[in-house]
Amino acid sequence: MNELSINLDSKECRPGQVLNGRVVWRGMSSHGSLEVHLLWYTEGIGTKDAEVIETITVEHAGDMGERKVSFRLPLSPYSFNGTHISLLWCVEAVGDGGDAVVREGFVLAPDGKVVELKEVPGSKASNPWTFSGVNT
Amino acid sequence: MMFTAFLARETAKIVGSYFWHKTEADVINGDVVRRSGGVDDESPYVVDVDYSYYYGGASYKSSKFSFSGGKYGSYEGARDALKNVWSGGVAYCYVNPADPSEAILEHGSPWIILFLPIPLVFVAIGALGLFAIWKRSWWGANAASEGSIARKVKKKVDSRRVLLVLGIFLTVVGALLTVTLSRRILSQLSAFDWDEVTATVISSSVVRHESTDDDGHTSVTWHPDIFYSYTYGAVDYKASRYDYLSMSSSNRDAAYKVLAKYSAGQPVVAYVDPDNPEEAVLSRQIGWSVLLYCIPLLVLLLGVALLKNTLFKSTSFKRGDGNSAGDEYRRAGESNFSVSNSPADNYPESNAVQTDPATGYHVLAQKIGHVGKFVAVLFFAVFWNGIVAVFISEASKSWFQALFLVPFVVIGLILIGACVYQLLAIFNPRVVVKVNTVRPHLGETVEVLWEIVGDAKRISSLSLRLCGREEATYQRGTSTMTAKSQFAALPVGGQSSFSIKSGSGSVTIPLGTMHSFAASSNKIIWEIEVEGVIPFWPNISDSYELTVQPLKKEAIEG
Repeated sequence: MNELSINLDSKECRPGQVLNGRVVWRGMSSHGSLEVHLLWYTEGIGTKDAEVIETITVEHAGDMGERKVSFRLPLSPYSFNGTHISLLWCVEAVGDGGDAVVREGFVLAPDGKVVELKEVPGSKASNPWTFSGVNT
Repeated sequence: MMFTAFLARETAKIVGSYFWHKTEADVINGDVVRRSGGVDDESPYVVDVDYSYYYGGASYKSSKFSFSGGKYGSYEGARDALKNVWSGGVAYCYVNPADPSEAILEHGSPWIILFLPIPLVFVAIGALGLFAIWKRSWWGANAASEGSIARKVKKKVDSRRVLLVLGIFLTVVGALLTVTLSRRILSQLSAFDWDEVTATVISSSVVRHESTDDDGHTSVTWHPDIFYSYTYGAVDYKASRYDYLSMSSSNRDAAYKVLAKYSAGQPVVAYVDPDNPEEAVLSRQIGWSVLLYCIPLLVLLLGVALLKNTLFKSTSFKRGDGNSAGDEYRRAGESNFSVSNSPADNYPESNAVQTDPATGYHVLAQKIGHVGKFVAVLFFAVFWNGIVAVFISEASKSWFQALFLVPFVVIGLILIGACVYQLLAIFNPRVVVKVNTVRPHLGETVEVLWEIVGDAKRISSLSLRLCGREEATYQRGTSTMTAKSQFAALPVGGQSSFSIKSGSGSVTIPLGTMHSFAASSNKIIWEIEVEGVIPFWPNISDSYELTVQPLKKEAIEG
C-alpha cells in the first residue's frame, strides 16, 4: 500500500515568499516518478478553474524516500472566499502513475489570511454623492 | 462503420476511374430527358447519351454517362453535366483497361473524398469510447488519478486541442456552406433584373424525399418539380428551376399548392437571364424561409468563437505593470524546476480608448456600446421572429401546433420591445469617464473625471460607483448560466460643488479586498458604474471596467 504525504513549513503565506516543504513517500512503484505541483484552483457554483504554476519532477523516486521542495510564490491570485467562488492554493504530490495523490493547502494573501468577500446589497441608495437637479 | 465502408467503396471507384484510359468518343446522340418515375423518384432528370469508341483495336458502344447513371434532381444539373463533357464537338470517354467494354464520359466528383473523414470522426469517437472502457476495466478505476488537479489541468489542455480541431472543422464547413448559400441568395436577387417571357409547362409533379436516421425514425419532405420550356432570342430552352431558394419541406400541402399553379400544357410567366438564357426561374419571391440560410453563418460563427476561445485564451491575460509576477518568481532553487503553465497573474484588460493630453487621464470605453447592443438585439430578434414566422405559417392548420408556438411568439414580442428600448437608448446623452489610472493597485485612490456629451438637462440624477463583483459560469443542462454577486459598491466621492454636466471625484480601493481576476469560468470584475435617471426614457446605465491589481511588491515586503 502506497503512502504519500506533504508537510509545509507555513500555511499562511505572503505573495513573493518562498514556501518550503517536504514530501515523504513509501510503498511506491520502484520505477515510477513523483511530481510535486504548486497550483491554485477554484471551488463553488462555477465550473472549476485551475492553474499549475510550477512542477518539480523526481525521476526514479524509488519505493520510498523524502525530498525537500521549495517554491517561490507568485504575487497573485490571492486566496479568497466569496459568495459563489473560492480560490484555494495547494501543493499537490502525485506518484505511482497517478495512483497516489495528496494535497496540502495554504493561504496566499498579503496578510496570510483568506480574503473574505461578502455580498453587499445591489441597490443604488446610500450614495451621498448622487447628483441631482443641478444642471449648468 | 458500414456507411464509412460504403463511402470508401464509392470513393475508391471514382478515384480509380481517374486512372482509366482517356479515349476519343463519337457521340451519336446526347440529351436530357425526364423520366416519369413517380413521386418517389428524386432524380428524374437523366442524361441520355449514346457513344462509340475504339480501344485496343476493337470498337465498342456505350450509353453509360457516369457511375451514378447520369441521374439528377434538376434539369439544369443534368444539362450542365452533359455540357461539361460534350457540347456538340469532340468528346472523350474513360475506358476501364481491365474491361474495355466499360467506359464512362464523366468521372464523378473526386471531392467526395473530403467527406470520408466525417463518418470516420464518429468511428474514432466510438473506438475511443470502447478503448476508454477497456482501459478502465483493465487497470481498474483510479479514483486517485481522477483526484489530481494537475492532471485534470493537463486533460483540459488536451481537450482544448480537440476543441481547436472542432473549431477548424466548423469554421471551414460553415464558410463553405455560407459562400454556397450566399451565392443562391445573390442569384435570386439578380433575377429581379431578368427578362419576363412566356413559358409552357411540359410536366409537373411533387417529389417525395424520405430519410431514415440512426434511431429508425423516418422523415419525409416534399418539393414541387416543374419542367418547362421557353423561347428566348429565337432559341428554344428547357428548365426545371422554380427559384434559387426553395428547399424540400415537410409541408406537403405547400408543395401541392405550388403545383396547382403549374399544370402540364399551361402557359406561365418565367424570368430569363439575358446574359445566359439557359438560366431561368418561375418565381422571384424572397420569403421568410431565406432566414434558414443563416444557419451556416451560425455554424461559421460558432467555429470562429471556438477558435478564438482555444487559440487566444492563453494570451488573453496580461501582466500588471510594474509587477512581473511571472518571470521573476517562476524559477527558484534547483535547476530541475519546470514551469507547467502560463504565468499566475490572470488580469483582464481594462478598456481604455485613449489618453487625454490635457489632463493625462485615460478615457474609458464600454465593452459594448449602445449601437453594438442594439445591433445584437436586433439581429437576434429578426432571426428569432423569422424562424417563428416560418413555423407559424407551417402550423396554420393545426391548433395544437399553433398553441405550442405561443411561448415562442411571446419571446419574439419581448425581443421587439428590447429592440425599441435599445434604439431609444442610443439617443441618450453620452457619459465620458476619465481616470488617472486604468490599472490601480489595491489601496490606491482612483481619480475620476466625467463629462456629459449631449443634453445633460434631460438627466434628473446621476451617480457613479466603483463596484466589485464575482461572476461564476456553469452549465445547467444545455444552457450556460452565470451567477453574479456584488461584494463592493464604493461611491465616487466628489467636490463640494459639482454639476451633472461635468465633475470630478475619487474613490479608494480597500486593502483587504480581492484584485481583478479572470479565469475560464470564474471572474472578479471591477467596474465604474454610471447610472443616470432620465424621466420617461431609458435610463443611462453604463459600466467601464478597471483592472485592479494586487498590492505592489514593495507594499507586501514593507
